[in-house]
Amino acid sequence: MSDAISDYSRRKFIGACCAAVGSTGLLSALSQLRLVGAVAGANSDVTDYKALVCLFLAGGNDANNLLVPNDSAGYAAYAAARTTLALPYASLLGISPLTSDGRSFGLHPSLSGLQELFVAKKAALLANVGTLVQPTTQAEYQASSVPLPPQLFSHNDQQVQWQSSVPDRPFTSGWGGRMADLINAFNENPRLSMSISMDGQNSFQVGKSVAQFSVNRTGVAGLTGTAGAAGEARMGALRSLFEQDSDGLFETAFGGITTSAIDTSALLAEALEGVPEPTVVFPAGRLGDQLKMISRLIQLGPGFGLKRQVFFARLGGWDLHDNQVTAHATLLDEVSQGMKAFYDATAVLGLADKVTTFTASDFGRTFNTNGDGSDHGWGSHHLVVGGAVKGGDIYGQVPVLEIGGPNDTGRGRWIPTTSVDEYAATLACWFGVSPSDLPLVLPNIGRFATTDLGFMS
Amino acid sequence: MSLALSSDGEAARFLMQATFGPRSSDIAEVRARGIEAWITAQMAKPISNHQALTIEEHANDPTGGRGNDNARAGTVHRDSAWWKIAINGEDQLRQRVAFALSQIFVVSVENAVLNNWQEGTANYYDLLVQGAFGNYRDLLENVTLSPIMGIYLSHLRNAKADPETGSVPDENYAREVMQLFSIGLNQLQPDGTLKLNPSGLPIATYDNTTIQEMAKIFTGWSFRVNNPNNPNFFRRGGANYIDPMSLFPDFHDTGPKTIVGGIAVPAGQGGEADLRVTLDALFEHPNTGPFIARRLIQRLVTSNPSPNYVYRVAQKFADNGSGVRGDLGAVVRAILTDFEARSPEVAAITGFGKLREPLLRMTNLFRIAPATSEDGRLDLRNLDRDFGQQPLNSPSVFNFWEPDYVRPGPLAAAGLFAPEFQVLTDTTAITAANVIYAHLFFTPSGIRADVTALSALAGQRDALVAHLNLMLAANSLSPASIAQLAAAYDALPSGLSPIDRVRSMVYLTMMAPEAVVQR
Repeated sequence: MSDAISDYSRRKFIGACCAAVGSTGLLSALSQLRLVGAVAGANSDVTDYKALVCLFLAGGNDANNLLVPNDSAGYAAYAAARTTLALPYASLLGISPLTSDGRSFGLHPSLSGLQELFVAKKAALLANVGTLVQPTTQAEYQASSVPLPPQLFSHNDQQVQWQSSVPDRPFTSGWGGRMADLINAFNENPRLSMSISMDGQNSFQVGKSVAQFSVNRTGVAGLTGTAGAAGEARMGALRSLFEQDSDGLFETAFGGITTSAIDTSALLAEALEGVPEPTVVFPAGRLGDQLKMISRLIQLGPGFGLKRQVFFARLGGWDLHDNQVTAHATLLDEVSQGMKAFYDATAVLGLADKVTTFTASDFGRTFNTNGDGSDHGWGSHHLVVGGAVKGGDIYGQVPVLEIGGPNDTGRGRWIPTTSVDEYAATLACWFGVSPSDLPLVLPNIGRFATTDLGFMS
Repeated sequence: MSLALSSDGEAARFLMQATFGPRSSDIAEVRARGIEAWITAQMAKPISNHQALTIEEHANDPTGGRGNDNARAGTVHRDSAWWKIAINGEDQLRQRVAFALSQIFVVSVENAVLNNWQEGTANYYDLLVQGAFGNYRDLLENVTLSPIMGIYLSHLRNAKADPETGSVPDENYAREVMQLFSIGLNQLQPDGTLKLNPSGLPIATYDNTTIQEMAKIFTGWSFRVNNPNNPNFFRRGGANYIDPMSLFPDFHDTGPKTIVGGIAVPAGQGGEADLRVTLDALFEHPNTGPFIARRLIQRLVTSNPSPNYVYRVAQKFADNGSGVRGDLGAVVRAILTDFEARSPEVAAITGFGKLREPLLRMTNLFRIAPATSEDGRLDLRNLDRDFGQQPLNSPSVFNFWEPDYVRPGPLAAAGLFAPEFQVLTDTTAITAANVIYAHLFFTPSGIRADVTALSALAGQRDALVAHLNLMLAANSLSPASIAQLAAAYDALPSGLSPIDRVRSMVYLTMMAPEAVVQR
C-alpha cells in the first residue's frame, strides 16, 4: 500500500470513526473510499490478530442457576434456599473442573453447548465477579467502612459500572474504549473503527479517540434513493446539508454521525459481500445474528488494517422478577448455542485461539425467590470462551451459597470475591495491554489482588 | 393574559413542542388565539381514546391479531390507533403530553403478556392520556394499580413473605416506582440539581433496606375480582387486563414498614392504606417536582433545561397557583409558556433544543402530507429496529433513551445530555432516513405520505423551500441550508415529475440537521 493512500485513508477514517464533522468530501468521497477498501482487501498478511467479544446479558443474569452445586449436601442446601427457582437435580449437566474447592458443580440444563466447550477446555467459568471500589469483606460491608459502588442493584448504574470498571467516578469512558485507545496503535491505518457494536450505543466501547461503530446484526444498512440522476442530486444535497458549518451542537453532531454512518457503512457493505456466510449454523434470534455477523466481521479485520478488534454484543430479557424458570432456560439456551456456534465458526476460520468471548451483566440475582422470580443481586458467575482460554476450570471462589452466610449482604446478594477490574485486566493483558499500561485501562486495578486470574494462556 | 406570537415560524416552533407537528390551520389558530388561550382550548378538547380505536381497528381487519383466529387486537391495531390519533386527533396537546408520559411511566409490548393483550396495553395508554392534565398523585395511583403495569413490573400477584418457600416480596416495582416514576436515585435541590453531602458526594434517596420495606407495601395485588377475600383468586382469578387491580388481604404484608424518607407505616392498616401512605410519600417528596419537571421538559422542549427553568416548572408542580400540588396541566402550561421555551434568544444558544424523536419526525410529515393506507391501517412496521422507537415498545423500563445519556464526542465535551442520540446509531442514522424516503416514494405496509396538497408549489422553488422550512423545521433553516435546498431543487433532473420533485424536497428538508433538531 502506498504511503499516499494510507495517509489519506488514515485521515479519512480517523475522521469517520470519530464522527467528526466534514469527515468526507462531496460525491467523490465514496468512490475514493472504495478504492482504499479494495487496496485494503489485498493486504491480508497479518500476524498476531486478536478479537475480544463482550457479550452483555442485559437485565442481570441469575448465575445462581448457571452454576449449581451438585454434590448431595450442596444441592440440598441450594434447593432448600431457592425453592421455587431450584433446578431439578437430575437436569444438571455435570462438569469436572480441574481444580476444586471440595464442592462439585453442574451447569444449567440449557448449557449443553457450553458444557461441551468446558469439557474440551475451551470454556472457563469465573465465579462471583462484580463491581467493587476496593476489596470488600462482609464485615466492612456491614459496617459501611469501605466505599461501595454507588447505586448497587440499580440496572443502568450497574451496567455502566461493569462497562467502565470505575464505579467510584462518574462515567467518562468504558474499559473496552480505553483499551482500544491504547491498542489502536497496533492497527495499521485502520479503515474501520476497531470497536464495533452489534447492538447500538454502549458504555463499554466509549473511548477518547476510538469511537464505536454500530453494525446491524442482520447486515449493514445502506442509504436508499441514491441511484439515478435524482438520487445523485439528493445525495449531493444531503452531503452539503450534513457538512455545513453550524453553530448548533446537536445539528453538527447529527450531520457528522450521519455522514460517517453512510460512508463507513457503504464501504463495509461492499467488503462484506466478499465474506461468505459461515458454514456453522447459528441459532436463530437476536444473539445468534449478532455473533454470526461478528464471525464475518473478524474476517474483514486484517484487510481493514485491524490487528485488534473489540466487539460488543448484547442480549436483553434477563431481568426475571417473574416467570424466571421458563424464561431463563430459553435465554441460556440462546447463549449456549450462540457461543458454541461462534466458537465453532472461529475454529473453522483457524482463528479459535485469536478470539475470546466473555460475558458481563448488570449483576447477579438474589439467591432466594420472590415467588416465581428473583431480584437484583451483586456478584455473579461469568463465562469465557475461546481457544486461548485455559478452559475446563472454575476461577475465583464460588461463594458460600447460604442466606446470611459469609458472602451474603442479605437475600443472597453476594459480595463479589473477584472484581470486574481483575476480570478485565486478565482479558486486557491477553489482548496486548502491557502490565505497566494496565492502570490506563483500569485505573483502580492497583487496589486489587491480581492482574491475572490465570484463565488466559 | 395571552402570549402573542409575532410570526408563523414562532407559532410553528411552539407547535413542534406542543403537538405532533404543525398544520397551516394550527399556525393560524395559535397566532389568532395566543398560546395561553390555545392551551386552554386544547385542554378542553374531547379525549381521543386508544382502546376504543384499537378495538375498532381490529374489528375492521383482524389480521395480525392475537389469540385463535386473530380473536383479539394485536400490535398492528394498537399501533394503527396510535398513528391515527397522533396524526388526526384534535386533542393534540393532550396526546403529545401522554406520549411524553409513556416515556416516563414506561411499559412495553416487549413483554409477552402485554404483547398478547393489546387492548389492555391501549387502555394503559389511555390512563396516561386521561391523566395528562390531571393530578400527578392520581396518575401515580392509576399507573400503580394498572394490571398492565402490574404485569410489566411484576407487582401483580406479588405476595407477602412465605416462610414455607422462603419467598419474599418482589422488589421490582418498589425500586422502579422510585427510581424512574417519582423521586430518582439522589436527593435534589428544588431546581433539579444534586444535593451534596459534606464530602461533595450525592445523597441517595433510599437504600436497599428501603427497597425491601417498600416491596412489602406492594404485596397483595392481583387481577380485579369481585371477591378478593377468596384467596384462591389471587393466583387463579380470571385475568382482567383493564380494570385496576384488587387487593387480596391474605397476601398483603401487614407488618410495620419503614418507607422512603424514614416514614413509619404502622402495622395492620391494610394494603389500600399502605399504598395510600406510600404514594403520598412519593408525591410529597421534595424530589418529585423537579424530577418530573425535568423529564417532561426534556420530552417537550429541550434536553438541557437550565436549573432555573426546572425550578420554575417544579414550583408550579408544588403549587399551581391555587394551592394544589401535582397539577400536571399547570406543569405543562408552565413548560410551554416559560421564557426558556419561547425566547428566540434562548433558542439560538448553541446547545439548546433536542434531537427530535424519530416518531415525531414522522408524525410531523404525516400531518402535512396525509398518510394514505391501502388497507385502511396505519401500522408502520419495524420502527423499533429502524427508528429505535415504536410506541409502547421500548427495550426496557428505562425507555428508548435515558434522561442523562451523554453522546461521546463533541456533545460530551460540551457537557450536554442528549437522550435521543442514544438511538442514533450508525445503523439508524441510515434506516431512519430510509423509512422517511420509503413512505414518500413507495408504500411500505401500504402506507404513503400523500404530498398532493404540497404539489401546488412544485414549480415554485423558493416558495416550496420556504413552505417546507416552516412546516418541517419551524423556519429554523439557516440561509446556507435554504440555499442548499434551492440548489438541490435546481440539481434535480428537469424531467422529474412534479410530485417526485416535491417528495425529494420534503425528504431533503426532513434530513436537514436543523430540521432534525428541535429548537
